[in-house]
Amino acid sequence: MSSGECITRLRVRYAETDAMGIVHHSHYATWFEAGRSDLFRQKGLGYSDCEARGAFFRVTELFVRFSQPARYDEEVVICTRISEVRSRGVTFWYEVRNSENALLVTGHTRHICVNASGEVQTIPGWLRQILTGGQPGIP
Amino acid sequence: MTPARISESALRVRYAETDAQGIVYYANYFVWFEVGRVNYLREIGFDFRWREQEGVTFVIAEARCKYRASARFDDRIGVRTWVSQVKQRSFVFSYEVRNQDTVALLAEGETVQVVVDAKTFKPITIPPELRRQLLGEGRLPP
Repeated sequence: MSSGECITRLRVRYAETDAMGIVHHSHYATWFEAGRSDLFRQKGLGYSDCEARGAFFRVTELFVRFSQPARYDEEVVICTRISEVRSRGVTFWYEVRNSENALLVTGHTRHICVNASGEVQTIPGWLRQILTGGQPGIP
Repeated sequence: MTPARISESALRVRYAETDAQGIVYYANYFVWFEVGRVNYLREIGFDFRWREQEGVTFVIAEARCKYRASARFDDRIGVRTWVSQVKQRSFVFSYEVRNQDTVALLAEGETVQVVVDAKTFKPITIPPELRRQLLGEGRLPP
């Protein structure tokens, strides 16, 4: 595992399952968010601190490829990493596996940086440093 | 392919669908796509009952959404759904989500469905009558 990756473990809740007995496909996006939040925290700055400093991320694209379903009470492992940082946007990559290491889902999300008024902005230097370097760069 | 059929679904944003940014949380668009998809499938007769009877169902293999603008609580939303591709064992739904009052495009997306045996969940060739239906050539027999 490279240092840029973040591991999140969670247990499938009953509320996340559907009539087919498997996790409804929309919930993987929520798991991706859990992975993203942990990645921010691991880099030394919680996403809420990020917003408090005036940098918000809006999702512009979500992609999920489903290989195998997850089921109730199963422990799943989400691996998250940043795959691209551009001047105004960032892309996260995700992989979800079960406890037997079988691949369940892969995906990515693209985000654009906006200010508190929702206007697109260049990712501030301190945040770029965190996203690219992994070193705390809090002003 | 030019869609032979487009299904239009209307919904209103529920408060539970919004997040701390005051906009609809991104995962909910997959649920809206599902509303459009289920309505489309009902309209062509590929409903839950038909699937149980014939032992044919489908699973989602891929889903994607591109977000163009935000939706907010109580907005009136329209979801347009159509079949954009039919292959041997899979087919693609395309979706367009608009604000019904401003007509602004909010999101576009696709889901890839793999047709499977309802018992084994193994992929199967799309049955001919279903294929015709997905291509817009008539309704499935009841």
